[in-house]
Amino acid sequence: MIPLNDVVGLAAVIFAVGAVGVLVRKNPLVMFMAAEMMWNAAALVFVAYARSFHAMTGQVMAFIIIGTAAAEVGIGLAIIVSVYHHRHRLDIDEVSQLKG
Amino acid sequence: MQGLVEILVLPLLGAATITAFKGLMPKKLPGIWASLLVAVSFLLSILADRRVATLSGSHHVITGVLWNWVTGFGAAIHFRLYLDPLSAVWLLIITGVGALIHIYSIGYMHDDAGQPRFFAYLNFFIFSMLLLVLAGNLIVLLIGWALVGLASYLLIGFWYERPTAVAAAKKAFVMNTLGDVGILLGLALLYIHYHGVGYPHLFQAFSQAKPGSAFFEWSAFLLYVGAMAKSAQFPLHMWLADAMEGPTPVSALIHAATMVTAGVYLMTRLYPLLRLAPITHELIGAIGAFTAIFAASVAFFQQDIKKVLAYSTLSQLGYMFLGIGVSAYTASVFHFMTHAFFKACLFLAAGSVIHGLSGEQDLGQMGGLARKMPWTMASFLAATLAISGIPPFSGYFSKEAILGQAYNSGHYFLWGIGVFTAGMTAFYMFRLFFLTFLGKPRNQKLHDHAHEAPLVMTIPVVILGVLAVVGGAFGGWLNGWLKPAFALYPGAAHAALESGPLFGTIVTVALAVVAFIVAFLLYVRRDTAPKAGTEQAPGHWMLHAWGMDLVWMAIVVNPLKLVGQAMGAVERTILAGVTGLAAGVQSWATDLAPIQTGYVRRYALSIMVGGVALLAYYLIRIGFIS
Repeated sequence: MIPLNDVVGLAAVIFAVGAVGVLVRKNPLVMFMAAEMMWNAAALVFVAYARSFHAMTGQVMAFIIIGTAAAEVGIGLAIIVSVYHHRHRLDIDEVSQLKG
Repeated sequence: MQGLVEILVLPLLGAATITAFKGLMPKKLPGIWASLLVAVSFLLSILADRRVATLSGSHHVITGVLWNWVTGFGAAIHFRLYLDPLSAVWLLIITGVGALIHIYSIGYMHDDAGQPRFFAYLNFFIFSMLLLVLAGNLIVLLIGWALVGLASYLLIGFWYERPTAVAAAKKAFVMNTLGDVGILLGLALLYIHYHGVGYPHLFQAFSQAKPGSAFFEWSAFLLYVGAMAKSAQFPLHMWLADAMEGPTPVSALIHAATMVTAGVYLMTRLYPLLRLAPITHELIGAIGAFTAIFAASVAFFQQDIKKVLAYSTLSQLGYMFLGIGVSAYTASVFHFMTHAFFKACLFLAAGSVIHGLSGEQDLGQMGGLARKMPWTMASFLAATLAISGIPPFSGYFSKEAILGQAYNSGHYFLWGIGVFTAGMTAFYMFRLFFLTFLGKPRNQKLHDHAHEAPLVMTIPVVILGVLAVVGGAFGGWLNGWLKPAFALYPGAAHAALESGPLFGTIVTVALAVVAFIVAFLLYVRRDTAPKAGTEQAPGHWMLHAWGMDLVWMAIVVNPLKLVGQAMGAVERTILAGVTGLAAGVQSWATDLAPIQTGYVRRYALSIMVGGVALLAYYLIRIGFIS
């Protein structure tokens, strides 16, 4: 059985990779994938602790995270597609009209 | 309850249907429909009164609760209707005279574009007035009281394109609101003390109370302030003269026959309270007598046919309150009844004259109309004889009953004022009659075009004229009819009609006859102009109602205006502070706005940095990082 510390450490690494990915990439599709990695790191932590504590609540949270992430992807991809239809380019810094 | 709700609801139904469907109705229908409903209401009132008459025992009351209105805190307040012999008299006059005036209005308003609106208002007024007299407690009475004020406002300002009419309506409403406040405070006092404002409850309490405490004086006085405003007693009287801006049937119905006598109704209804408040009781009589002679003096030199009648109404209301002040309750109700007949007749006849002269109201343009309008002239003459107190016309009996009781109860000074005023009344009423119907025409062109009113107008006038002649015969009936209403509670021994000393009657009638002769000599033999006597000091002041409007402006209106302006300045200062606060917040927000750059990655970085900072803070706090 893999020790808890290793799993949480892996999750931390995945989360950090995802966070850096969101911050440095300019293509919204790639940013989305990076954000998915952050979601999954969180889900992994839940599952790991659930197994460690012999409790089901963490696994339930993992399912909720998967469901929420799916919904978020659905909306996000729709927005990205419609932005692409308008501009025929994908660059997050160009979509910056909404400002004070 | 049997039948009371129908009496009340029918006029309201008329007002609602005419308002809702006036676009669909043919031109003449609103008037006919409104008159029909009030006439049916009159028949139902007769039936209800017959039921009251057949009740056995000393308690001639039909009463019932429509619904429980205010429950849950303190004593419950019911929406209660209450019919006893006193409200029965009012019921008959309101619906009976009201129906006649509705029928008259069909002719008077036939070419007015606002005719449906007029009849809707008129029916609404009848409903409100019936609610006032059928109320079973003071709160329901106050609702009716306020609604008749509203109806009066709407009808005085009926021709709203005239600035004078709008101003008069506003004046009437404001002055009446003053009275409403008085009633509200008075009934609040009674409610706090007795935990209820229903009549039976209050009468029960009054019959066990000892007279003379300040509590009774104040509650009676506050309720009297309400009656004072509604019945135009001095010093709250000026609105009634201005109210003549409304159409003439309105003046006849509201400002002569019914609404202005609501104060008389309230005072006679609450007479057990008056007997507990001797100072207020005396005050009512004194103010009544003063109003009578004051208004009679103002009526002497008025130039407008309706203004003379308005001030004579004031004067007669003064008589009614004089009667209340000397405990002549039955006599006051009797005078209310005969006054409703002869004054409605006078106003409607004056309306026919105005109608025949195509809207002219100035006495200086009239004269010699007797041949042109014989029926109107005959009715006007009958009503004039009645108001002047010439026997055997109706006014003689009721006025004599009030004056007789004033003398019998030892109020010799008030009696003297009343007798003198009776002479003045005869003078100005015959001056009005002579100037309108006799003498030479002062405007030949108008005179040539003058014509008798159509039948729909003449018949109600003649009916009221006949009632003005024979109305005195109701006195004996009224005496027996009202006995249960006034004899139910102790201390009402003098409520019934009494006759005064013979010499008093002789003096009164002699004064009236002398006044008649003087008026005849002045205005028929010597053909004095209506304007004569108004240039010099007393006549000038009488014409302008002794300057009471100016006094009110100086004492009440202008100080209140100053207070209002001061309050306005204070408010503007406070509002300036509020505005400054808002401006500060706005400029702060403008300074912060550039933070929202629109770059999503910058937001993500900010969130991330914040999250890391929070994490670091907690890690340091638990000692993970040192």
